[in-house]
Parts: sequence; C-alpha cells; structure tokens
Amino acid sequence: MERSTGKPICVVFEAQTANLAAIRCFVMAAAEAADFPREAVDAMIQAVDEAATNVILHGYRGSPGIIEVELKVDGNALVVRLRDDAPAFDPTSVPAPNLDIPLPLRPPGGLGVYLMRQFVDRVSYRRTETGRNELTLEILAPALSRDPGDRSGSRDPGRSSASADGVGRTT
Amino acid sequence: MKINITQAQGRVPVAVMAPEGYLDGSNYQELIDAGRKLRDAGATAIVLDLSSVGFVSSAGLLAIHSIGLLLRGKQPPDPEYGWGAFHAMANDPGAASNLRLAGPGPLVTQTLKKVGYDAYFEIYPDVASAVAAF
Repeated sequence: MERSTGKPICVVFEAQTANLAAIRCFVMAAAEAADFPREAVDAMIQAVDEAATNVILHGYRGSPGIIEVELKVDGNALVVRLRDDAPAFDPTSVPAPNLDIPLPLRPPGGLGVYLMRQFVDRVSYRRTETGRNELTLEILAPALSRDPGDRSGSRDPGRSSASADGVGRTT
Repeated sequence: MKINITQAQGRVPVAVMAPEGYLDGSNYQELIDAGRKLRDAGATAIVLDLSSVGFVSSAGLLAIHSIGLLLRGKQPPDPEYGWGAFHAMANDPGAASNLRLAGPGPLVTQTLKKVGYDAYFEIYPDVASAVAAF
C-alpha cells in the first residue's frame, strides 16, 4: 500500500548551530508522525543536519539568516526541502569522492556533502525564482505492506499519520 | 555539552571521556577543547565513550579525529578542509593509536563506518574492553 501524499509541514529556524538539535527534532517528529521507518527517519535526520550545518557555517558564515525546513510525504518518498538566503551554493556540484582513490589522494572538501549523499536516495538543488537556495533531500521508503496499525518500525507506535499543515518559527 | 572525565588503568593510565547527547556543529569544539586539556594535563591514552551519544555529524567526526591528532602532539585540522582533515590520519595511521572508541550505538556506528573510521580507530563494545586493550 502506498502512503498518501500529505501536506507539507514547514518550520523556519534562525541559522545558528545552536538550532541544529531543534532542526533534527523537527524532522524526527514530523517524519515519525508520517509513519516512516526508523531507519529512514534516522538517515534523513543525518542528511538534514549536514545540509543545515553547511548553510550555517559555510553559507551564512556567521551572518544572521534563516533556514526554512519543509517536510512532506510524497507517495512513498520522504521529502525534506531546505531553503535559505545565503549566497548561491549548489551542493550537488561538489564532486563525489572517488572511494577507489586512496584517502591521501582524494581532493579536500565536501565531507558533509558526502555524508548527506550517503544517507538519502536523491539530492537536488535549485535557485528559486526569488533568489533563494533550495535543497531537496529524498528518501524512498518501501511501500506499506503491513496492517496500518502495525508500526513496529517506528519509535512511537502510538502516533498517528501526519496531517498537520503550518509554519512555525523557532529562535 | 556535558563531558564526564574519569581515569582508568589498563597497562597504562587511561583517561575516559564520556560526552552525553550529540556531537554536531554546535558543540564539536567543546570536545576538542576537552581532549586538549587532557593532553595538556599529561594524558597519553584516551578512550572516548560514545555510549551516551545518540548522534554524530561530520563536525563530530572531525572532533574525534582532532583528539587523535592532539594525542600525537599535532594540531587539529582546519574544519574548512573537509576530507583534507582526514588526509593526515591516512598518512599517519598512528594518529589513531592513542585514542580508542567505545560503545557506539547502531546509528553512530553507521556514521563511523560511512567515512571509514572503523578502519582507522579501534572500536570496542564498552569502556572496559577499550581500556584493557591499551
């Protein structure tokens, strides 16, 4: 059984490393509420953290700014979009390290981007019409084949499917 | 970030660092600083107890590597250098020999393996076995 497509849930965070934990908590709560398997949720949390860290440390570089984190279930895909107003940067343009090359010979940079790619199935980037960075991370989960009441793969079996729709702000 | 520091005795004195919570871009420098203080106080062998750490990002990985380098009398790498931060470790496998990792949970273990840390650091299921291995 395929999950239905849900409305996106969006929260805006100030771009500070102190908010990384809050960003991870948001992704965890929203993704688990959407009934995604724990492994997929954990992987998305790791990828989102790396992406947000890149924006904060390398995009804004200490300047004030925001990161908009939007989570959506699209069929069997868990989709997270991060939008920011930092200078344009396309993480997908960072070459993937060739793991066949000995570590000392690999070019520098891109560790966070590498980890981000390792944990999700698809990474895409676009510059929006309003001049923002928009990074999309997607994880494809197996189709639901269990009884909907059997959520043994999630951390909190008591939670119901997400239907929330709203924008919040945290500082 | 709370980091519990205790002393243990293997064949040599061992300092045990036990951070709690998570290792990410907000606190990785605290772990490096704690490792530096131990090194400055004379520690030559450290076990990093990861059993109470639920999440490690690339910044946390950098902190772990940095402590290994500090124990070898070297400076931590520039975080901006990404993969370059790991080149020194590959060129100097001994950088990991005085730092051992203990008790990582499944998610942290997965992250350590993604970047090949399991090939450079000795990872033990618990602190006691890590200390005993020194």
